[in-house]
Amino acid sequence: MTRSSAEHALPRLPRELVAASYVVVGSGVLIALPPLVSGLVPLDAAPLVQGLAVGSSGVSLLLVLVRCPRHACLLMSTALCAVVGLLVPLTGATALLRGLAVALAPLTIPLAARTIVDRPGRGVRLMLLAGVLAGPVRSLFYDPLRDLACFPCLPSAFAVLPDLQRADLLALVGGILVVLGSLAAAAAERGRLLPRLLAVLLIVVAVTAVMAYQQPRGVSASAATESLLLALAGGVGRIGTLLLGRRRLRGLATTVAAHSPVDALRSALRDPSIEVYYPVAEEGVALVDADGVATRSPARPTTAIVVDDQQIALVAHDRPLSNPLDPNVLLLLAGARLRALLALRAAELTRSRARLVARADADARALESDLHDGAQPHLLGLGVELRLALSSAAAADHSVLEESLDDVQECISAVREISHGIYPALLSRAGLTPALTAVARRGAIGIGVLDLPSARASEVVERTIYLVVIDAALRSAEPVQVTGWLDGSTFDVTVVGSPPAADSLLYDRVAATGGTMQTTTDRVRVRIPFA
Amino acid sequence: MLEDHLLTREGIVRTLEHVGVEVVAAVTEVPAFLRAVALEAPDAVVADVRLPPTFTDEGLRAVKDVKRLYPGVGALVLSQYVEAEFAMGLLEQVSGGVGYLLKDRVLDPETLMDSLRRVVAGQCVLDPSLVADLLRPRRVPEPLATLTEREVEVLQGIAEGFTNSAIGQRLFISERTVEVHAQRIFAKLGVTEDPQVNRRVLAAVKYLLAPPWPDGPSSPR
Repeated sequence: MTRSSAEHALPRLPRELVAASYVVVGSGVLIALPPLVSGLVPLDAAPLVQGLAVGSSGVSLLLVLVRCPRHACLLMSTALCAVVGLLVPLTGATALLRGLAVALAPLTIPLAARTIVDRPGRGVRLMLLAGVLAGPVRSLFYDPLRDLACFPCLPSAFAVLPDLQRADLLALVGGILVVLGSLAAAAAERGRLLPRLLAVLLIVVAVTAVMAYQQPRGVSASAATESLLLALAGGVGRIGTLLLGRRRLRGLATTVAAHSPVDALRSALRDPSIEVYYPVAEEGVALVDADGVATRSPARPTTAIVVDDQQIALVAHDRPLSNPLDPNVLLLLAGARLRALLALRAAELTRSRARLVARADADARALESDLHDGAQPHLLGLGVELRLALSSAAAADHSVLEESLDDVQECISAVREISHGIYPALLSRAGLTPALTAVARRGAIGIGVLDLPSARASEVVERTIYLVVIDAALRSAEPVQVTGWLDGSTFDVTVVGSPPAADSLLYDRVAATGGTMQTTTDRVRVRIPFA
Repeated sequence: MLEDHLLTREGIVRTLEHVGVEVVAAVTEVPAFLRAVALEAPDAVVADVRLPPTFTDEGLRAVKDVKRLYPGVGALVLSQYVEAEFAMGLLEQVSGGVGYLLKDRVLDPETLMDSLRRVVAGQCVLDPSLVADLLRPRRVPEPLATLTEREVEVLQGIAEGFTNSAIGQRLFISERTVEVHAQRIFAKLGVTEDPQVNRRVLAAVKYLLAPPWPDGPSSPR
């Protein structure tokens, strides 16, 4: 699980708790402040509840401000809507302020919902729209019939219909929109419907409680108590859900990091005996394991995993496989099959390359052998015949025979040079140092320093290094310095004093033996597994 | 005579018989070769290097076995390639009376005959082409360049296994002059001269074979 930004690196508060805190703060302030200021403290439990609400909400708000600045902005705008919308008296204020109050108050709910929902989806946007449209929804909670003083203010308020019948209708539509939006928002957050609904319900109840401030004090006290309890219950439930979810996420992250669908299957199906095989019929091999190594079909019960008519895996198991597999596990299986397939092909390519090099070497040696055992003895035999003929021939024929004999000898030398170039016999018989020394001695190449380990490597490896050194020395005007050592099981040879090679054949040959070849402006370095 | 290839074997046998050498046995395999040497007690053996079963250096090893059992038998090793490393191995393990020649020498009956005589006499013979390779000027400066032309000729003779008197005859100078040259050569090259014949050849070849780099590795083997 990766974190996308620095802000996310801070521990985050549960959204519902934040929203509930705001709601409780709002209601607590609204309910508790006016009586405290006026000094009319009643004798029932209301002030205690209100005080608790104020205190706990204050702490929550502080936490939010300190730890989630972005959240705090949202909360602040929500609070602004609430304060302007709910605190501005509809009587005795300017018309503009009253209009603002009527328009902003319904935005309180959608803004609070926006605070709750992590990524605003279509549902939240719908809610915000509904909030804007639902200015008249206030009248649903605030019944003008109960506040006779309000009647005169209605006509002068912005966008408030004096016709109560229509206002009720609009309010009903707005209310339905708000509830629908809440439901949509909740549905958008899959699998977490209940806490969302609870939070929405909590907000509705809280706002109702604030509205009910106009009512006798007993009602407001009980409403505040309900708000607080609901907020606490919602918060606790949400925290529990989050903790559980995080643990699940951690488990999933571990499984994914292991890149092993086998482990995922074993833990998901609680069957430690599970093994997974991958069918790769197109490669001429029936089944491979996760590393691309061909295996036989298991003797145990197996289940073929088929996706889009293609068999992607064969699961061998002891317990019956009953449930359909999770899509994530299917993805892991498909990925693992591709990896196995790649490993299989890579291994086959490596083997075929090594075979090609070995075959080329064998061909070269066979050619050398053919020259040595075929052409050369014939030439030698011919030479002997000529020599014997020369000793018994008439003096007149001597010059012709001697010329022919010279030709035969030149021919023998030429064949020897050619066959030696094709496959130096000394390399396989005596090793790299003698073979390279011999070539240098013949003057074909210049080697200034030759310091190689005396241990014998395989013929393919020795011939590869031999060819690299010869090639590097041939491209250099000055004698090259050849040094090498055995690094663990790797033959590490550096030729200093040679420009980089132009063609890639030697690179390919080195790579085919499982080694690497690096060239810089003045040196060639080859590292080959010593086998 | 040990040679697995029919044409070559016939060619060598006919050449040898032509110059008056009696070939008592011509065989194709090492066991038959060793048996023939035990039965016929020849003056000399001639052997190819690459032989069945592995076609690597069976002939060389067979000759070493013969020389170990019968040190008095002269031995001539023929090979399509002459490599200094193999010459060294032969000279180091055999005390004398051994030669290492290119197969082409079969076409030069006088050289072949002369070489046979020399190995029977207990001397060492190295192919002139091998010595020429060793003496070839190299790209890296070295003490060899300080030798005079005549000294190089003498060193060539020493490396090919000739005695001082033989070298003198070849170069038309007195044996005493050759000795003086030889001492100067070994002094210049920093090699101690050994009176024993094959040690002398070995020292010369070893020197020539050793890489020219002063602080490089020990001579390859």
